[in-house]
Amino acid sequence: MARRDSQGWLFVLPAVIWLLAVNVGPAVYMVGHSFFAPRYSEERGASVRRWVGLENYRRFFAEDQLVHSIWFTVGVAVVSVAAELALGLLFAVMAWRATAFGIRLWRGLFAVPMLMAPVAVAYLATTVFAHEVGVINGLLHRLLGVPFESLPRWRSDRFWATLAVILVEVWQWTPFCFIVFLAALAAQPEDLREAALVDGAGEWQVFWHVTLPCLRPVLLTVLLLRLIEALKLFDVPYGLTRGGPGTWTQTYSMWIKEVAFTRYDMGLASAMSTMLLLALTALGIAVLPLLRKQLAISEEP
Amino acid sequence: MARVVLRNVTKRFGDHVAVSGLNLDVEDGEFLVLVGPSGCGKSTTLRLIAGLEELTEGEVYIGDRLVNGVPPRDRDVAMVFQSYALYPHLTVYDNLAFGLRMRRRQLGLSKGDIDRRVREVARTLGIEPLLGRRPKQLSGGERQRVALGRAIVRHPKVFLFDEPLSNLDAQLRVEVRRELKQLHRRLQATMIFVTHDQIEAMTLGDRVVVLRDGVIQQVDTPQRLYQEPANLFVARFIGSPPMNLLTGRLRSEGDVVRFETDGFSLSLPPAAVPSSEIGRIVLGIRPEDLSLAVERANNYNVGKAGRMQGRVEVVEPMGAQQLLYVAVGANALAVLSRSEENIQPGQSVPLVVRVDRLHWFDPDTERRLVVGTATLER
Repeated sequence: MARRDSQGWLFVLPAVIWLLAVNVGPAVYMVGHSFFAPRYSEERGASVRRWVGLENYRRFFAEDQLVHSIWFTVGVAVVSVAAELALGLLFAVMAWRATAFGIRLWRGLFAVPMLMAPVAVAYLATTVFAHEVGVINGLLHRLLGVPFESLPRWRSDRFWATLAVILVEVWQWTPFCFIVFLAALAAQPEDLREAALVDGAGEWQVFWHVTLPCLRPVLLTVLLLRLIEALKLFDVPYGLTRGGPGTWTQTYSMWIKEVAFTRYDMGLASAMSTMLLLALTALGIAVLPLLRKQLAISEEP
Repeated sequence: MARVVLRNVTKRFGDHVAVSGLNLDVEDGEFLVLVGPSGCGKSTTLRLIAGLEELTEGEVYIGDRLVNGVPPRDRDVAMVFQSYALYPHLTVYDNLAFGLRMRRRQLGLSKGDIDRRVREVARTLGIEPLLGRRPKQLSGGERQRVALGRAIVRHPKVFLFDEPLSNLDAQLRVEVRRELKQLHRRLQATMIFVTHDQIEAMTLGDRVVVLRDGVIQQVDTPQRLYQEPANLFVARFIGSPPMNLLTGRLRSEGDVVRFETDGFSLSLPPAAVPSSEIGRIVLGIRPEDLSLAVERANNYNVGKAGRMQGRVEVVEPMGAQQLLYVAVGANALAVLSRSEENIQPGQSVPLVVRVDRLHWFDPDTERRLVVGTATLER
């Protein structure tokens, strides 16, 4: 028995080492860092760390940028994830029973945005949203005759810049939702649908009362994954708007990057990262029991 | 309650013909079983009645109403699936209430009505304590019962069963089979039941339809299917252990007719054969119509007729009876004998066949030949 236990440990060891080295280690280092501030030491002639207790957190809560940054990040995340889920589900349902010629190719093409690096997407988007030479404004001007002076200012107007960020996010991540939902729909037993049809439900009722509830675990999983990713949003606004106008479209992650590598305030940046880590962990803890309950219910008997 | 009538029903999937020119009248209140090997079109037929598949040709009537093109929801049928297809996210109560809720307005039911009906059905099926549970928390037998309840609660015109017993263990299957029969007697409802299991078909059906490659082979009561199979397929399919089938020829010899086949011949009275001279014919003998001569010779007092000599190859004890495989000439015959007989493999035994229970078939058309009426002379 003891021998088997030690062998078991041996198998788990690589994973444990990996987790400690790559996840837990840096996280602990970061949290630790949030209690220190750099100080120039005369005798060493270099910067040394000084214990400052919760000072970095006090400064964090005093930052002007704080409230807007959180609101903007949460707002963009909620709106874009909601749109991604809704559109992904809509397209998945449309493609699910479709048998049109070339449907496979179409499904494949739909996945392309997901395969592109977000930062590349953001830079490409700059050409789409450029004011006078951009694709969108060009179409608005030529096809709809919108005069130049009333074209949306995608990168210098707060509203339009926010919308641009959301549009790019949705464009890139809807395919992910689409593919996962399509797979989940395809995996649903046909019997259930048929049972409901014979039971007296119409197609719409079947979707609403059977298909959709059975998708709940998948919906929740995708929601959680996408929300965590979206709350860490960085690449798209960084490449597309540079956080502008002003710091309006600066997400929380961009703000951390600015504090860390523009202001070189590692203590404050660590405190900010720690807060983000706590928030996302709390989100996970809140959603996981729900997810577990859904999985327990809907698992195939 | 309603009759179900199928007229020239054909269903094709691409090039594959699943059901071909099917004509069937299911009487009001009848328990009809569709049986056949997998791929014979029995499930497709059921799904055509339910409206889950569209007809390629023909007509389906439920009651006196032509239901071609009518969606499943408006056919007033209930179906029990092999997988039970219980809604996993709903409790047993909500599973039972689902159909009533979906059609609450059309049926003019109040919430109280639904509650009353759900509880009544739960009580009759003995699943009241399970009403708050979800399907995942139920055993196979309990799920089966809920699926049944979901059908009963709607008071449909016709019940459709698609192999509902095949996921149950042997013991439970026998139990549920009995319950289904009682249920049918109590509800007096039209029930159509699909199975690949001939024992299930025989025990449940008022009448049984044997299907093969989408074509009806025979529609009859279980007794007549067994005693007078219409063709070789039915003869092979119905009965366990299956009927012994021997290909040979008939030759007249004085006042007896001899059936001659590989390695042995059998004397038979002329009254037991379709015709005294036939070049090629298939003789069918049920295992229970063969007995060891030592055993019940007196019961088959036919003189030399119907006697043969064989050597026991395998003995399979089955409790009250034992199944013997006896080599006779080049054939091995299955013989059902009483267990008291102490028979050892290798033993030579005299066999007697019940000459009034022989089955004859034309090897080419595979059709049954009636004794004394065959016109075939080859």
